Amino acid sequence: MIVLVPKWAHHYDEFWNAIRTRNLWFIKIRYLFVVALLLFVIGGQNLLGLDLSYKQIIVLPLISFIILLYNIGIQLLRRNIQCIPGKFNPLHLSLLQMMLDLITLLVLIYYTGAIDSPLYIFAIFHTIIGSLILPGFVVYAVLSVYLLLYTIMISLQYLGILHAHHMNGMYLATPEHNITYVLLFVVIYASMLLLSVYIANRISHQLYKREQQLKSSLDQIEVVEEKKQKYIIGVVHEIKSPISAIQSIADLILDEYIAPLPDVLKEKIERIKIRSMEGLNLVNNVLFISRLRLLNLTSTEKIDVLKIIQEVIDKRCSDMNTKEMELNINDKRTIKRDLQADKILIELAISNLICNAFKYTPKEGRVDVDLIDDESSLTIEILDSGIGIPSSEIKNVMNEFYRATNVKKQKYEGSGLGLALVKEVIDLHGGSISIKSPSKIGNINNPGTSITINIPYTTSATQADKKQTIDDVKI
Amino acid sequence: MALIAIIDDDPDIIEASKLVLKSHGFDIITASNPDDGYKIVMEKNPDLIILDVMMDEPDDGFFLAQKFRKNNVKTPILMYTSVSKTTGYDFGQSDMVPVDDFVEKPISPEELIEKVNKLLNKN
Repeated sequence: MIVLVPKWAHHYDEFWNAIRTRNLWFIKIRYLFVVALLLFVIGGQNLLGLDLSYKQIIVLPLISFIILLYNIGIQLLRRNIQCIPGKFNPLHLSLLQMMLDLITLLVLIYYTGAIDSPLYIFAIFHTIIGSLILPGFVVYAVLSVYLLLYTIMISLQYLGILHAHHMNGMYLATPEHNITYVLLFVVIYASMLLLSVYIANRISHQLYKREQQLKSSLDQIEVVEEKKQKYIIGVVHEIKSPISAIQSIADLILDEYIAPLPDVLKEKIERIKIRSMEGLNLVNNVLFISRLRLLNLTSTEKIDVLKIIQEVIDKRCSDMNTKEMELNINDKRTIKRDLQADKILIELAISNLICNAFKYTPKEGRVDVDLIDDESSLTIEILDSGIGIPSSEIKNVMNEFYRATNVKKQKYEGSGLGLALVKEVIDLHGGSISIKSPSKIGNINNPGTSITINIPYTTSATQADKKQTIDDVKI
Repeated sequence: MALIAIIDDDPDIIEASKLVLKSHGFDIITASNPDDGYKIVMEKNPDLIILDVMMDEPDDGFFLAQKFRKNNVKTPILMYTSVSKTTGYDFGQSDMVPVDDFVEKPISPEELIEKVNKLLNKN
């Protein structure tokens, strides 16, 4: 079997999808044509004043019926063939359709007046669409056979051997042509068709070439992307290893595995732990952000937000106990629904926000977590009675590496990546985030901060925007 | 008392893990590369293997774990990783990675003891 498929397209889903769609067009247009032909036979008699012969009244509907039959056949075939280059595939189906249509067209032309039939123009349709999807030589071959048969038919008609079925009522008198007209007609018709093949083929060739270049560029990008990911994992590993070692040794000293530890030293070694942990968190956050931007990898599962909040507070926020804080979780939801989202990412965002609230709130302060819902989304509000954010700086705190001036003055550790990461995660889920300072529970000395995140219950509506969000982010 | 093999290329991590585990009464053997690691496990037949996922090459730990399983070493393996869930690269447990548990570095002494006891009690 002729392999009609260009090599590059063998495993290219887009190409096959395009062919399958075009085949479906053909099928749909053919159904329309069947109806149009029947209407023409009925309406031609009654409205257009045509005087069709008895034979035409029998044959034309019969042809419609034959077209209908093979169209159903093709449609069934289309559903059951696979896109395998070496076997009968959608391209072969296109070719088969083209051949069947042209044969039927010849019969139709014969029964509507041969050289005087206006239907000859229909061949242009197949010529152009065929040229767009099939290799040039195949279209030329099919078309040449068609033109040859057409020429034979009108020559025989001219010689009076073949009796043409004129559509009476369309001409003032039975048309008669001399040899010059017949020759000119054939030459012009043939050159029109062949030229169309040439032009359409050239254009589609160029398009294919461009597509091929695009495809190979895409492949290259994927390879590079993978290398980059591996490189990032490697770098992170290299950076994390020494920090992990520092942490482990600090733990040994702090837990007095080596020798009893005086309190003065204990405090300093605690600082070593805190600062190195900060470095570790920074590395983790950098890795997370790059992963979010480079790969479109998120999973959606049902998650219980309240459970996550409680887990985060138990496991990650050690500040709560050491600083004797008051914590209130107010679940004000009317319906306790699960969120459809990426669990790891949401957990990360929530832990960043809650731990920040604890971190930037002085001893004996207060942190409130409110859960509010509406029909389609969940709002989590995290309020604290902490140091707050200067009003002129609120718009900047979500930028990477930005740290508010009051944070720096009071020597709170941090990298300035936390909120940027949270924003990225919330954007990815089609949600929004807003920051206010002072908060409702603040006071004069500690105005407090209130961060509100809103996440839609189902992210399906935002899936389409997701890529957009990623593309928009500057890397 | 249970014998634990620690295979890691970072001497500080070996020392820290060793000190913690020893003080809890475990016997420790150590190796700092996959070849030595394989050797000590075959010779001493420990009750638990603590294995770092990345040594000289990024997949060394995985390959060694696979090698143990291929050679019918059924000793539980606790794998140290530096990239995992918190960084978004989750290896997960599978046939590819035939280990019994993962722990992300840095690991606190309490967490280490807890994981080790859990794995030892499982057998």
